[in-house]
Amino acid sequence: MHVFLPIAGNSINIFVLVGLGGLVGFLSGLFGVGGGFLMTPLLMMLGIPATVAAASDSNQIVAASASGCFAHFRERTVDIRMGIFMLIGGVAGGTLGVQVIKILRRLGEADFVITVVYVLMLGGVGSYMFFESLTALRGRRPSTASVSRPSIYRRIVESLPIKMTFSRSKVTISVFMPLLLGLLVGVLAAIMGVGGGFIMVPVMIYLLRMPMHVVVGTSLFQILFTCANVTILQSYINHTVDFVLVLLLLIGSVIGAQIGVRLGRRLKADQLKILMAVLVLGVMLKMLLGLLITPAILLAYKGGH
Amino acid sequence: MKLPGTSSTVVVILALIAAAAVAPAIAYAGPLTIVPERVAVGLFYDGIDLDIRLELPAGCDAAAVRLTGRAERLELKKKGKIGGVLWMSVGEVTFEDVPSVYLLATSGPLEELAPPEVLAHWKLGYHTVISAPPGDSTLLAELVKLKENDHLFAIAEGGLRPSGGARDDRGSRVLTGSFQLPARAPAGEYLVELFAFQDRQGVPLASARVTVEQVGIVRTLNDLAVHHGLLYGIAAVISAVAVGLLTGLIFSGKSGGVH
Repeated sequence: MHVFLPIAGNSINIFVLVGLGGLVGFLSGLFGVGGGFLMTPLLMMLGIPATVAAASDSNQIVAASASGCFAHFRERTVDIRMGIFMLIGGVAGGTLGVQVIKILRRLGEADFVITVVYVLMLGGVGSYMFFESLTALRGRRPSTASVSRPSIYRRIVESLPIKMTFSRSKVTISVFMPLLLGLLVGVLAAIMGVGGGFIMVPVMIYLLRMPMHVVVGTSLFQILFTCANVTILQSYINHTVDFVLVLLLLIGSVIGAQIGVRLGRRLKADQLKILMAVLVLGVMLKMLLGLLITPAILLAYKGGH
Repeated sequence: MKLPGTSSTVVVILALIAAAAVAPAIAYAGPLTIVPERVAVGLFYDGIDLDIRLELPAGCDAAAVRLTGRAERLELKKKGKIGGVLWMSVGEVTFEDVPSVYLLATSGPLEELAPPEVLAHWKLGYHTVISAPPGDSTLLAELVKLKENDHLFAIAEGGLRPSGGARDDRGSRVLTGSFQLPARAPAGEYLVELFAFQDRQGVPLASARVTVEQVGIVRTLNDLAVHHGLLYGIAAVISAVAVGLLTGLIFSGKSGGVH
């Protein structure tokens, strides 16, 4: 049974869209990622224009993250204070990132450099998370992220002013930490054109040393606002949000998100981390294959991610 | 300069006049009929088959029917190898006057219909309607692949078949076929033209128009998105949050006893 999507200008099977929403919502609830990195290319494969896929996906993520965030809020695993600081940094970083990409593009071959850096970064972060969690699961080390970091990083972190206690995350750090890290993720997300959830999650685990379950809830809290902002901007400027598409995706995704949150609750932090690592490595592998395999068609429509 | 196909124009026109003169009692629908001529795009629209029925005048041995959408400027990303290893976007390329849709059905292989210059004159075949940007002719095949992949370009050689087989009293033959207009074909007007061939010379014989228009909720949502973007965006976000929270409530209610 097909439904015609008014803005995408194409018809797609209803059950495929609901199922796709369910899968991505599940990952979102489990790991605290938006899932745009997965949803946008899949929608494009189904024949939805890239610009509409990316914009509508943002709107769908609003629903999934609201659903997941609500569940985490009840579990008291959302650090709203930390989330707000990272959000402020993220919005500023996003704005800055858009300018950075303009400058990089003018310098030429920016896309190449960015993609390679991104693939390496995902590979690095994914491998690190994977082996660190694996070691912890085997009982060789405590499962908390007590990873020795270069002392220079520790010195910088400790020298930053305006310290604040984030009780939910059980950390006392300078407010500049979430602001600056939010900014960094915002810049990266804007340059790469993805939501940044799976850069944000490792940053919260390893650089802010937040407990895994609070990381997921807080990440969803932040994604909710980022994606709401993107949805409104895209609707206003580009008219690319397809509400029929969104509705079908979110029917699946809000339910998927709840299942994801439930499963996440049953898993140990290190089990969750290792699964997240597999996901990050999977995304990295997909990007790498996309770069290595000869495309079937050497032309593509403009727009999107 | 003598236009290709001009020699047969007279023959065909005469044949048509003769056909009209001995028309049977039933109303003569013309040499080309497309059903339906109006296509309503509603919420459950999934593309449509347009039925083609044509009368090929006596003396003509082949036919082609072409459906074309509005010509547009197409800006695309070009993929290429960087450093000899990695496939990435390596720039943009612009094609001018590319029809949004180009569907062609013929009664036989294109090369048997007419020589290339005649086909080119009547714009029958992909390479007669699109031209590559200067300096990169290989991209033309890639554009065709991209459009064919979306079912917006299609050529059905032999897609027009005799209906009933026998010639009628006027000596004309009826051929039928169909165009699969994909769901992604944009709303608007499409021109359908019939070409008749005799001795490898062609002439346009008749034309029809097909109108594709959005109706109902599809049209309303499109109008809202385009004319009230901000309101539409805010409503979309509020709806998404509401659905998200509602689901959260439903699920937490169900599992209230667990925690």
